[in-house]
Formats: sequence, C-alpha cells, structure tokens
Amino acid sequence: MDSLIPALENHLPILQVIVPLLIAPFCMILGSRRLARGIMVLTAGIMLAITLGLASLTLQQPVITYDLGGWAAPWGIEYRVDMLTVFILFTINLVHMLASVFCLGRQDGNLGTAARPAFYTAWLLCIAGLNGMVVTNDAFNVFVFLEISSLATYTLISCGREPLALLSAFRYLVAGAVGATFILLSIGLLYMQTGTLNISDLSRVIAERGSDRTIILALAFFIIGVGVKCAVFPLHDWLPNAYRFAPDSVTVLLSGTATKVALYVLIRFLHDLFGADFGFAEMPLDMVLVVTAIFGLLLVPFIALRESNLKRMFAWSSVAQVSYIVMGIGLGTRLGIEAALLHLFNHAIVKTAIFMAVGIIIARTGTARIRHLGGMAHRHRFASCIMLFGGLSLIGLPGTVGFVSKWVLVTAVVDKGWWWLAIPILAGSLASAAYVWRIVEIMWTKPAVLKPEAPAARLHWVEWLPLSVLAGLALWFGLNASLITGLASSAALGLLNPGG
Amino acid sequence: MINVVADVGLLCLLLTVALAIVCTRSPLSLVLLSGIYSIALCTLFVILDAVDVAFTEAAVGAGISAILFFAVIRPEDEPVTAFSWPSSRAILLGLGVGVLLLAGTLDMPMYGDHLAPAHQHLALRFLGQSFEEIGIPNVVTSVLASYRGYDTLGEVVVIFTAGVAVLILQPDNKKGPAKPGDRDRFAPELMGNPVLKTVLLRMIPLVVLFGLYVQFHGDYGPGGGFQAGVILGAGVITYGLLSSATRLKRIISDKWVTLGMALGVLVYGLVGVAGLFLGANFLDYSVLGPTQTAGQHLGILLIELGVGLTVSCTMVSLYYCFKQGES
Repeated sequence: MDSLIPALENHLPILQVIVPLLIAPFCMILGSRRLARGIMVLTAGIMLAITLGLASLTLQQPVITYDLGGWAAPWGIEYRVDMLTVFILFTINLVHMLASVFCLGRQDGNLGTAARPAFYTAWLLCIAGLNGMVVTNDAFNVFVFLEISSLATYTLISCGREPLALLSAFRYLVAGAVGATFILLSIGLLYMQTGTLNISDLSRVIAERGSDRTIILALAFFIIGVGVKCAVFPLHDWLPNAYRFAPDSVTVLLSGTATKVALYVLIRFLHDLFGADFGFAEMPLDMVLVVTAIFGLLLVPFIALRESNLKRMFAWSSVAQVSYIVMGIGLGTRLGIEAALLHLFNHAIVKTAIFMAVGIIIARTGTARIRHLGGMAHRHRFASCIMLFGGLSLIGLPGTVGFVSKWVLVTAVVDKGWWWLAIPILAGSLASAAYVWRIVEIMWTKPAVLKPEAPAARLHWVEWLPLSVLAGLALWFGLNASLITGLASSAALGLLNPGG
Repeated sequence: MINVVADVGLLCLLLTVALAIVCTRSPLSLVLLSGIYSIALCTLFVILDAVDVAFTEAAVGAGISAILFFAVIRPEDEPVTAFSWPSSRAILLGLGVGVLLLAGTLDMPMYGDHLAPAHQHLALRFLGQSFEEIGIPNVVTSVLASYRGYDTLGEVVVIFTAGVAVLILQPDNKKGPAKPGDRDRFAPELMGNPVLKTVLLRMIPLVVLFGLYVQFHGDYGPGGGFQAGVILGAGVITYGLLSSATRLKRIISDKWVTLGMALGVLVYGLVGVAGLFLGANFLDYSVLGPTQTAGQHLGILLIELGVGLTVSCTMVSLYYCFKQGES
C-alpha cells in the first residue's frame, strides 16, 4: 500500500477523468437504480478528493504534465495541470459533489424503469467529459471530451418531466452541434497550418510561422463555436429553455459546470494556443468580446424582468452573468482574467444554490409561475432566504461574493484605461436588482395565491445540506475574500507568465 | 488527369446533393439524398486513400442511419410540395460562412503538397518510426490505437453515450413487445420479395465474415474496431430487416446488447488501467508483453476488440430502440 500511494500521486491527472469515465459503463451493467445513485455520490466524492490532491501537488510544482500512453508530448496526448486548471477543477467538482447529493432527493425526471440507471450513467459521462476538457493540453482531445459531455448533457436535459424538455434538448443539440462543428473546423485548419495538435506545440509553431488568413479563420471559428457553448450573448438562444425544462438536479449541475468549462476553454485557447499577442494585439478580439458583453449584460436583465417562469428567469440571469465573465476575458489583462475567474467561481456557487432553492420551492408548490408564488417566502423560509441571498449576490451588493468579483472587474477596466466600461457594469447591476426585487416583492409581500399544500413537507437532509454548504461558502468568501482572490490572482499570473 | 476529373465530379455531386437536401421538404427524399451524399463522400475517401474512413461512411452514413430514419418517417408525412427555398436569413448565413471559408483557403498549402506542415511535423515520426516502436505496418492503426489511443477511447465513449442517450429516450413500451411481423413502413413488399430475401440472407454470413476480417486485419490493412463494428452491426440489422426485429431479439436479446455496449468501453479502459498497475502510464501497452512491440500488439488487439464490441452492440441497440418505438 505504501508503494502504491506515491505511484497514485503521479497518476492523479488521469484518474480525475477515467474514474467517472469507467464507472459510468459499470453503472449501466449493474442495472440497479439505488446502487447507481450511491455510486454516483461516491464517485463525486472521489473526484473532489483527487482535485484536492492535485491542488496540493501544484503548490509544490507549478505545472504537472502526464503523457498518455507513455508517448512524449507532441506525438502523444498530454495532460497538463497548473493553478488555473486546479481552480476550474475545484469549482466544477465541488458543484458536482453537492449537485449529486441534491440529486438523491429528486425524482429522475420522466423515465421508464429500464432507463433509470442510464440516467446516472449519462450524469457521470457528462462530468467526466467536462473534467477531460479541463485537464487536457491537446486541442483535438478537447473536442473529443466536448462531444462526450455535450451528448450526455442533451440526454440529461431531455429527461425533464414536461414534453417540451425534448424540444429544448433538441434545440440545444442543434445549436451545440453547429458550435462543435465550428470548433472542429478550427482545429482542422490549425492542424493544416501547423501539423500538430498539442496546445503548447501549436502555440510555438504559430509564433514561429506568424499568422495567416487560415489561422485568423481558425480563431474566428473557434470563438463562434465556443461562444455557443458558453452561451455568450448573441449565441445564447439554447440556454433559457434548456435550463427551464431540464430536471432540477440537472439544471443545478449544468449551471455550475457546463458553461464554466466552455469559458475555461476560451481562456485557455486564447492565451495558451493562439497567444495574447495574436488575439488582442493583432486581432481586435478585446473589442469584439467586450462589446458583446456590454450588450449581454444590459439587455438580458430586461428579458429576465418580463419572464413569467422562475426557473427561466434565473436562466436568463445566467446569460447576463456570463457576459461579465466574457468582459473580464475580453480585457486580456491579468486583472481582467482574475476578475473573470473570480466571477466564474462566485457565479458557479451562487447560481447552483439558487437553482437548488428554486428546485425545492417548485417541488413543494408544484408551480414555477412567478405570479403564483405570492407569499411563498413565509411557507418555505429556508429556501427563499437562500434564494434572496443569492439574488443579492447576483446584484453585487457589498458583503456578498458578487461584490468581490464585480469590484475586481471594475478595477480591471480602470486599470486597462477603459474606465467608461464601469458605467455598463453598474447599469447591469441595477437592472439585475430590478428582477431580484420583483421576486422579493411577490414572495414576501403579496398574499398567497395557492392554497397551502396539506402538511408542509419538511426539508430532507439531501436538500438542506448542499444548500447550507453553498450558502456558507458564499458567505465566507463574501466576507473574507482574500483566499479566493489570491487563488484567482495566482491562476491568472500562471497563465500569463508560465515561466515564473 | 483521371483523378482530377473524378475529384471535381464528386465534389460537384456533393455540392448538388447538399443543395437538394437543403431545399427538399419530403422526409423520404431527404433520407435517400443523405444516402447518396454518403456514397459520394465514401468514393471521395477511397480516392484520398482513406479506405477505413470510407468503410465507416458506407456502413453508417448510407446504411444504418438510413435504416433508422426509415423506422421513424411515415408515408403520411410526405408534403404536397416537395421543394422550397430556405429562408433568406439561412442563405445569407450560409453564403457568409462560405465566403469566410474561401478566404481561409487562400493561405492553405496546395492539395497534395508534400511540404505542407501537416506532413512535416508529427507525421515524420509516425511514418518513420512507428514500425520500430509499435511493430505493425498500418501507420493509421498505430496512430489511432497507440499514439493517440486516448482520443480513440474518447470516441468509443462518445458512441457509448449516444447508445445510452437513445436508451433513455426510447418510449417506455407499455403495450408489450412489438407485434411479430413488424415490417418497415416504406418497403413492406420489398422486404417480402423472395429474390431479395434469398440473396440477402445468403450474404449475411459473408458480411459477418468480412467484419471479422476487418476487425483482426486492422494491424495490416485498412480497418479496425470501428469499421468492423459497423459492418458487423449492419449484418445483424440486415437479418432483422429480412425477418423481424422480434425474431432477431430472440437470438440476441436487448439485455445482452446493452451489456456488450458497456463491456466494450470497460475492456478498453481496463487495458489502460492494467498499464497503471504494471508501473507505466495510462494506456501504455508496452508493459503488457515481454518486449515493447509484443506489448503494443497485445494492447492494440484488446482495445480493438473493445471498440468492435461497443460499436457493433450500439448499432444493434439503436436499431432495437427505433423498432420498439413503432407499434
């Protein structure tokens, strides 16, 4: 056993992905729903432990690489773990852990008996694909794992109770397939011009050759393709209905992981593959990203304000929040990336908590229509308070995590000399205050519309435990921001200066 | 010269068929046109010397996917007007992306240029050293199964995920198993045709034999688990078409098919994990045998078996799911 543990340490990067990837078909063979659920939570715990192990390793050694199949880097596929990787891995695996506990208390959507273990298989495949996209340092491998996670995601969304779940999953499938095609074309064009697929090697060859029209096209196609996956403002059309009709536990999982990983891939490719000089100095990528972000964060809150469905309203809010992250990425500076990472983490925690609370309220009241929720805050105090707390963080009120990341973002735009960007950031926050206030007004002050359900169903531990953990984390990071700010800052520094 | 004529002719055919696919409103023509597109593409792959890709395109694109489409489209869905132009927005978007792609081609290396970057960097080692390092003559198999074996594992998982997705989506058939004698909606008389039936039934063993050949000969000639899996799957599905899905299920039950799907992925993954236990990295086959090449041989043989199992079982499972939907 002693000899196995140091050996295990070297294999942590690959274990992060193959543990869920190989447990998924195993769940399928077992064919028992109860067993599959237990295994899912256990796997989530193991994955979080592996991430923590990787985190402690990166403290000693800034970059860990792993050659798959024993073939050295540009010839074989390479895994590469640095501070940024660990930051994202921690975010998604924490959310996954809590989401899978939350999932225990949910019905598995609209599924026949035979399909129930398959739901957990798809769940594990989804998270395995997302982890694979984060750890890899190979452009084509990113695409392969993107396909795994996307296919699994469409499946999970289609398990929703309402018939429209199928349609929204299908629409997401079409949008996602178009996005993936653009990413594949981009990788193909890059291979044509460089003859390699390893991200570090690609960046070296591109720097040596200089850019040409084909590489510019590859950059453009990549931005469009990954933009669909991130739900960047004009390419967001799939997201609101996908989140609205997906089973509650799936919405919780996706809101904290799927778009976040796509945003990570955007950061990784822009800085490590194409290079900041090419994207931000040669090409006007900063303008493109910042302008789309401004439109997103100003327009989307007004759509959310007119939304009649609670779940879809918060889905719209996710589109708006992605815009803040894209703005941070678009600045291209160290502070900008730090702001983007902080907002990514904060939004993952807060939105996961909000969707859990929404799921609990919808399950108890049987409706998601906002005007039917009058007075519900008094009947479901805990969930409503968490939702309010999350809403305040979306606005960015001082004392919440949302304030911390918006503050860093404002610092970043001033630092870049684009101080006027602070105006849309503030205006966007005010607009989000409007839709949060609307919910507060209805749920706290309006009289009850629905008759109270017979006995108020008590919260099960699988419901209150993950919610409390997320709320506690959000509270802690909001009051004591130095830890998470430090992590984001060193991750951004590691990305921009890989040497030191 | 003949190559140029064939290339240009096939590409024009692809373009025409693609335009026809965009404009047609009839599901039946859509499926048939997609089949023609696949066959044309498959021929192009053969000209490009990518015979293994051509195998897959022919079996999946022209074969199995058409069968699955036939299982879900209905004659009553055929529209009165079979042709309409796409919306002007779609035309503009398509033209825009097309112009961008054309602009991107301006700096691309010439077709067939041996100095193109794609032939100068990684390919040199793959072509020059793979025989010493892996010991099999087919460089494509070396790259797919060993140098980039992890991507191939990922692709197998993609296919497995697709199979799981269709299993989840299939309607829970409460009316019991499909009625015996279920036939394809569009071609009942075709499948009842004694000539067709006699000829096809005689061909199934040959198709299966060819599938096995492609599976085990992948180290030497074009082929491997993916191609063998789709060919085997197509053979089995043909039997289902000729008799009925119900009779096929009596021979290969859907439980076994689902099991095979998952088992193939596990075989592939566990070969990789075996490397971990023998002190090497994940998917390093060199430690599996006494010498490096012997280990690589064994590893590639095993993972190709896993690929073939998952792919063939997924194809059959898709067919079962689609047949269950109709009753």
